[in-house]
Amino acid sequence: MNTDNQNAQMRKGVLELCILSIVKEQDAYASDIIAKLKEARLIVVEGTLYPLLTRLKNEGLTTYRWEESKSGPPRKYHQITDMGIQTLADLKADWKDLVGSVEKIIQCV
Amino acid sequence: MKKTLTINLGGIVFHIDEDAYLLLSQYLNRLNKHFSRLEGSQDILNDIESRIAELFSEKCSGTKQVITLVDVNEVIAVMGQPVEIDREEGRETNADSSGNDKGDKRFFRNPDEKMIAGVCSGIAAWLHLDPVWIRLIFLVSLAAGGFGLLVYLVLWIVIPEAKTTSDKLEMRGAKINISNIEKSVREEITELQGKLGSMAVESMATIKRAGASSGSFFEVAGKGIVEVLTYVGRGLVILTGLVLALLGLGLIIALVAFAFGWTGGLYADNDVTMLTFPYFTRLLIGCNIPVGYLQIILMVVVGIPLFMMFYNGLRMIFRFDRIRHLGLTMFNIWVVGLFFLAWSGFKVFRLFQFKEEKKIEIALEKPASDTLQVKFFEDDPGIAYLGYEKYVIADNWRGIITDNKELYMIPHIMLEESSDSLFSVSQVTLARGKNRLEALQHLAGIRFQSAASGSALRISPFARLPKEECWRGEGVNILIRIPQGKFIRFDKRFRDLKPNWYYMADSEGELLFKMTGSGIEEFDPASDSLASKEIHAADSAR
Repeated sequence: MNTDNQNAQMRKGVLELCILSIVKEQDAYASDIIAKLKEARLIVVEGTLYPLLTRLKNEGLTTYRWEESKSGPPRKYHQITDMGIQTLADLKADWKDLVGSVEKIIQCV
Repeated sequence: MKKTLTINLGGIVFHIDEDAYLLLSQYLNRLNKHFSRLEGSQDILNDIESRIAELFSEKCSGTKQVITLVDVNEVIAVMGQPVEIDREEGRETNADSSGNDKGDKRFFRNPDEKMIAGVCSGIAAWLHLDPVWIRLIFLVSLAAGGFGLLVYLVLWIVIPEAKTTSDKLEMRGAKINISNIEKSVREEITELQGKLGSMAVESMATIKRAGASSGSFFEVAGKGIVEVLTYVGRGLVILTGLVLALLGLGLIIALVAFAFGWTGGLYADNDVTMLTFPYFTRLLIGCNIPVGYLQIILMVVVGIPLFMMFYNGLRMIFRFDRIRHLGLTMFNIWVVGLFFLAWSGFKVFRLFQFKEEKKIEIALEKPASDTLQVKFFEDDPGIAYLGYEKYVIADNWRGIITDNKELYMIPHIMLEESSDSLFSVSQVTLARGKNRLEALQHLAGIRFQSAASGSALRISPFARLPKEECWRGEGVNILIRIPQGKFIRFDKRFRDLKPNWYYMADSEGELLFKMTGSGIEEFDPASDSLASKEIHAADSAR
């Protein structure tokens, strides 16, 4: 249970990092984000994404705009905010630190 | 052939099979419930709906225009069940989500192992315990004041019986992931093909978890306790509702009975009449305000709060939706009723505003004699009602209600020491009215006779009102002044008027009193002494 929980906590952080990275690169539509995350095998079910997107938006890290679409109703495009860029930089640094530290230990053993 | 429905999902119109529609709306409901505790749940749901719409439109083409069960299942598999979403997103799937997800354990009465109604064995099944322990706890609580019985009855009412196989599976609950698989099997037996993949994922997760799940008994037990407490809480609400509803209903019935005079007096004692509300109001104000009007006001002002109590009690029990605007409407009617009540109160007050009294001295023929006899006019119609043991008492005012529903007022007889050596008697009549003139008219309407004849004073036993007249504060006071050392003898039947000096006299025998230096005392002619009652009593005790 404990490892499971940590695992989950870790994945949550990582997912947020990935989503922020994706939307920083380019304003993205939910399906684009899903496609990328699925490709990287980070998520299995798509429902996971929406609570995360809403949370990022509520925390002020992302925002969205509506864009007309040729093949249907308007689409919600997510874009990163200044605060989001700042947070992303922090998260990225943390991530690299973590990976570096973990790599070191794993390689030593 | 299948029936299809048209739905608007994320702004796109789809034709969808009925069964597919049911599954989809079920799924969306589940998500809705699941996310309801998150901030921005509506946004999340809208996004999900838009995505589902997008996935659907990918599935539609020129030749395929209807969304089928298979499509919906595929989409659900892609979007994920709430539990899967939680797990991936890193939220702990803990107690708070348990109540929301359909697949979780539920509380049922266990019909297979029941002693009475299966409540205990249901709890036991929930907690994975032997039912014996739960029954033991119930027996102990039964011994301790019977609280257990109440809880048992409430749980019996509240908890459904496990009827189907799936109910029984849910009742036992098992581990959470296995139950999810059970749920999948149960709910989606027709849609297996689309589901197999995600089931495999789940089973893998289960196997992975199996090693770590040894400590989960406490988790399960904890959840069980939460669930039990939820039911106990619900039970208490139902109990409160029951009390409110029954009390409300009872009081409404009592109110109606009171207002229409079926039962219950304003003042009831062994020898005091049942003066019912309609009669009391008719007596008091019936001449000016219709009794029915007052009954309606009473029903509104007192009845509406009682009705709301009853209604809310019922709602607590049966949890039906509130009836729109009922509370507001009732409140408005109540306020109007209150206004009319205040207005009537003011009107009644006005009816009694002015007070008039008339004092006359009754000239005795032999004021200097030793003993004053006080008797009744034997031809007075009130004589028939002497000993009529139905009294109306209001403060220091007393009267009787006759069989003809007439009000007879009992004269207030006061005994005082005379300032000289002569007997003297004064009579004061009182009445009230809307104005001075009316008060005087009411005063004149009092039917009461008093006269001196020989050494005796004769009075009517009761003061009567003119027929069909309402009571307007009418009353008669007789003040008898007795010189010190002299006697007064009342007719034995004066006992029936229960004057306030009545307690001094024996229950039998003469009503003979002597005015002594320290006030009026009973005089016992048999003892042939001036001994007071106390001394006499002390003698007989010796």
